[in-house]
Amino acid sequence: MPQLLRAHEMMEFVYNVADVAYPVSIRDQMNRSRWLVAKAYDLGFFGPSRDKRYQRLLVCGAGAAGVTAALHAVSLGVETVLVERSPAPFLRQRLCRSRWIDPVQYDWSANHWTAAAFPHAGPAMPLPWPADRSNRLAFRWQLVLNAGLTNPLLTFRRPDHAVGAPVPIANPSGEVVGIEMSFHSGLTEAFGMLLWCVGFSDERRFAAPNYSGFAFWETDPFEQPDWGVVSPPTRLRGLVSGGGDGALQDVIRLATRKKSAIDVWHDIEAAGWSMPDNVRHALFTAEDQAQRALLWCRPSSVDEHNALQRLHDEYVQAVNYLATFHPARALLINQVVNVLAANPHALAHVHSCTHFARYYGLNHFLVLLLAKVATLANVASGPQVRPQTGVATVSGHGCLGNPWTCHGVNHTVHLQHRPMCFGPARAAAGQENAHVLVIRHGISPHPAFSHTPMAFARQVMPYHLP
Amino acid sequence: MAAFFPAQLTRLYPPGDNGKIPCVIVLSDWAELPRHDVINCVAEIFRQAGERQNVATVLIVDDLGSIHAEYEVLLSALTEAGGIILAPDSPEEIEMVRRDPLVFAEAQLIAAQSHSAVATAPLLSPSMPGSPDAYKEFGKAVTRLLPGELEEVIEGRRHDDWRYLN
Repeated sequence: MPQLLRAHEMMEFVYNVADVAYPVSIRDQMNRSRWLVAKAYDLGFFGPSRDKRYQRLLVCGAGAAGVTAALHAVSLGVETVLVERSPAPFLRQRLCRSRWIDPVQYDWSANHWTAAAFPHAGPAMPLPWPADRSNRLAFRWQLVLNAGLTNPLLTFRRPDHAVGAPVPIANPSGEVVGIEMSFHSGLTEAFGMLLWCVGFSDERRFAAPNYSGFAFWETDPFEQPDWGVVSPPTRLRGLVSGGGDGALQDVIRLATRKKSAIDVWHDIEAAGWSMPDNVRHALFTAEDQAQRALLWCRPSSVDEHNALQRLHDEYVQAVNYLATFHPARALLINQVVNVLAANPHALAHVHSCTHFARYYGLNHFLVLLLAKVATLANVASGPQVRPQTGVATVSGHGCLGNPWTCHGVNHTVHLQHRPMCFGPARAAAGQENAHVLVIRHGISPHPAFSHTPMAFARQVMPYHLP
Repeated sequence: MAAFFPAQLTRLYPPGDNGKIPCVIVLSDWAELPRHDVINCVAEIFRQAGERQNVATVLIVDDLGSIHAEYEVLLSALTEAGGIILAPDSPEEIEMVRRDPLVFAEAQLIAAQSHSAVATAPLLSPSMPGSPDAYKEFGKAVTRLLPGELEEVIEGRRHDDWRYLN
């Protein structure tokens, strides 16, 4: 059996895209779901080669991964049932009007940048991905799904959802030949295979005792004047907590009021500054080495820490070189100061450990560059980065349930020292006031089924499979 | 409560196919109505479309642009009911919405359709790459250096790499 199927297998004929690969990326999930359908089809898990009762594919969840899987299955001539709990597809993306999303906005430039296209080398993906605001992209995808629904092979059942676990169906000799699934609507049906594409896991955006910040996939006002705070004081204070990509994205958005890293990059390059080839080469080499190291090390291990630290050190050295030694440093600093002028308010960024977490290189570079230039040029509104620091508690306001009610309210944020990325917090590290508090502490996977994968899903990259 | 299907949008779709005709709600037109009536209207459109195996397209033009908690709760509820909130994202779009929200909705629809056409192209083969040409674009990302160019890079790194400074 192909490794990709092994890495996502929950039980016979049941595969999970949603919770297995971590850290998650929509782009990766869409790739995986498409390839899982293709591989399973090749092996005859569903489709015309099966007994009529098991010819159909069941896809649970009509998000980006689920719709990709369903449309691809239909393109192969497979009768497919797509089930969604909400009245319409792509709820997560539709809810967010402010996030300008991947794949071409946060990474180092490649030739797919200018085309704003899905960086996928294989056959066409069912859903197109021009860079856009999240909800507008969902609108485009919904039109694609509508076109797909003209194919009688595709049934889109909503609002409905699976109830309980799938039940294996065995033939008289005890061999599992398909699965049976019950639904909230009262139906119980047999399928050749189930592809579970439900959920993106739970985002950790809370602080004790009762603070809840904006979710990553939620409409926020960070790019508005004064960060969208109505009647702001003369000087607001913002604080972003987290070293991962979500945190870095929002540091950039708050510090520059630009919608994405690529916009900041274009502004910096506008006056003729460009990245020296030797620095670009060194960073790309470091990225390449780190990705290979991260691919094969155990998650949350010392090896992972070492790989991320080496990568981070390379970025720090590059930024120091460009801003303090390179002949074009004055031009660079001038451009970055201009970019930072869009935000007059103070911004702090705290993150655990001594390095950022994953992932996109341009975010990584820009946060370090903005912070470095803010220090060199005495720009008080530039991000002040504090490593080895985390948010412990928040006092001054209770916000649980609706971040809008506390946006702009002055909170006291109690910080703690975190000596290692995966270790416990050790001691109090002072406090900061923050009117705008963004907590991006990753996600908590919640596997739908009890499962021990036969391979780390992240070690099986669908892009590289023959 | 009747849904609003503007004529200028219906011409984008085959006449008579109601399931595909987008319904457009302009928020300022509905601002005086009870909130649950608007949400129920969206839900009813989806229920009717569902009976015909369609996913309704309900575009909600946010021409009010308010930033406060209660307003965001309303927009979230409309989205969860199935609507797609379209808000202006640039000075040009703000002006377009001010002049005529339906023209803005039409522009958004046309933009969305132009991209969706690409993806509906048939896929060629179950799991193998569609064609060797599919890989050519990917290959452009890598630039093979000529021997002379490689020498320059090596020399450049030797003299210009910050790690060898000091």
